[in-house]
Amino acid sequence: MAKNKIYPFAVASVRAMENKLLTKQKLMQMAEAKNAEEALRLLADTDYGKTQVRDVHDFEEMIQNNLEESYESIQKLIPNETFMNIFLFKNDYHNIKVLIKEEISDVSGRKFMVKGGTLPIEDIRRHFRERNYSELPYIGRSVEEAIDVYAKTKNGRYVDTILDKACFRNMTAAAKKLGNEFVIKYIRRLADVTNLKTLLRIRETRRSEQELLESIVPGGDLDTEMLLRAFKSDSATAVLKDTAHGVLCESYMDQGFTVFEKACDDYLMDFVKDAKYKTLTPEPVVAYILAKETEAKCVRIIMTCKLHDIDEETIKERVREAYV
Amino acid sequence: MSNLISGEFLALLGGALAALFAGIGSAKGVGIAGEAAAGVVSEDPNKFGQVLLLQALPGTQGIYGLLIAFIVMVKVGLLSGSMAELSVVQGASIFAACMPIAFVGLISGISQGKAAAAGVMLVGKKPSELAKGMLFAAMVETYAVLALLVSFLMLNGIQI
Repeated sequence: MAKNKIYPFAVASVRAMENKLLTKQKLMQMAEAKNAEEALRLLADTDYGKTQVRDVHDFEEMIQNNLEESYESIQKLIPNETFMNIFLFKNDYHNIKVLIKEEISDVSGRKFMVKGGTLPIEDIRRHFRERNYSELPYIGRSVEEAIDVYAKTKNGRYVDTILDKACFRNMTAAAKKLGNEFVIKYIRRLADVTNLKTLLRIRETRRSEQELLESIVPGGDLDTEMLLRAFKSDSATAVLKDTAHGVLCESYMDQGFTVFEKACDDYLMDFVKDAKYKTLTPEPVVAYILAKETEAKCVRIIMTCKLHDIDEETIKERVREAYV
Repeated sequence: MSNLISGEFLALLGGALAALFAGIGSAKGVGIAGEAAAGVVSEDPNKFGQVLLLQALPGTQGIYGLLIAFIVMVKVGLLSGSMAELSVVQGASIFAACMPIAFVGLISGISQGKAAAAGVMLVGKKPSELAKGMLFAAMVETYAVLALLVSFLMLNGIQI
């Protein structure tokens, strides 16, 4: 993708597709529904209704199919493998984590696997079972490493950290190859936000510095040293307030992990919202992918909360900022 | 080489450049707007009529270029079959008169194409706002018209 290449067709299609995104009102309506069944009925009235499910517990299938369809339509709009891979890698890594854990724990992880990776689920499963790493482009080497380390340490945490790191390495490399400034910035921000969340989680659960060091993903603006200093200091906010993400840390970091996690999602959404005013460059397409992923997350939060009879207000608090 | 720089040649070169650059501008502009239009129609075929209007807007620069080229050809008598004898000064003047529409046509055509593409996206999102989308793109037209006017008046003023 050349720097100045324009994509009128893709952007215009995405603009038209944005009309089908769930609005904040729709999500709020779902949150206000009497029970999970009613929320599901509301969901079925939207674009998600293409997948018919009988049981309310199968809502995940609706989300997955809808998300996969979106990835596919974007893939058709911008037939550039590197571009799409940036957003699909995380699904591959998620699937491979499920597979490794499935093997370790002997519990079927089939229902935890997600569609929309660079490789179809069945292919990943088959190649992984046969230890055919060369058939797993991009991810093969890190999978091998994760399994080796697990064999030595018997600690599942390393599987996660190794794969997370590999995922960000791949995303950063792909973004660089693509050369689009917006995508590069977005991935950097994503890495930073991920690290900040890790930092807070490890702090809140009072685990060790070592663990933080092992979990930091590459590719962000905040370096390991800075994160470590924030971790060791009494007030992480004080250390981080002068960084690029100072506002985020200052306003939300002291309010607990759930609040911070939501703030991080909103922070990323805020960043891509600028794309609303771009007309020819690929920014709106990136924003659409994030919007769709966030939407899926919101629907998942609402449905899960509804199934567990969590009250309206709590659900509304957890629902993320919408793109439209 | 010396007889190449004759009044006749300069005049024709001016006319050719007017048609050439303004045409390129329009072709690019209509192309960009057309891609965007196809993108919207791919999601909602009912919007074809609306977006077609917007796609056509950047096409005018090419017509202006053609118009100026035509006037040049009539002026030098190319179309009537007996070309007038032109001095180098006369030829160069005609050449100069053609420049406004050539360059403004090129740039404004592309710019208008982008504005029209944005208008197409506006219609894709909010179909009721067609008029506003057209207005934004039409603003660019002002400058193409001004350039046309300058080229036209200059050509008119040159005595042969």
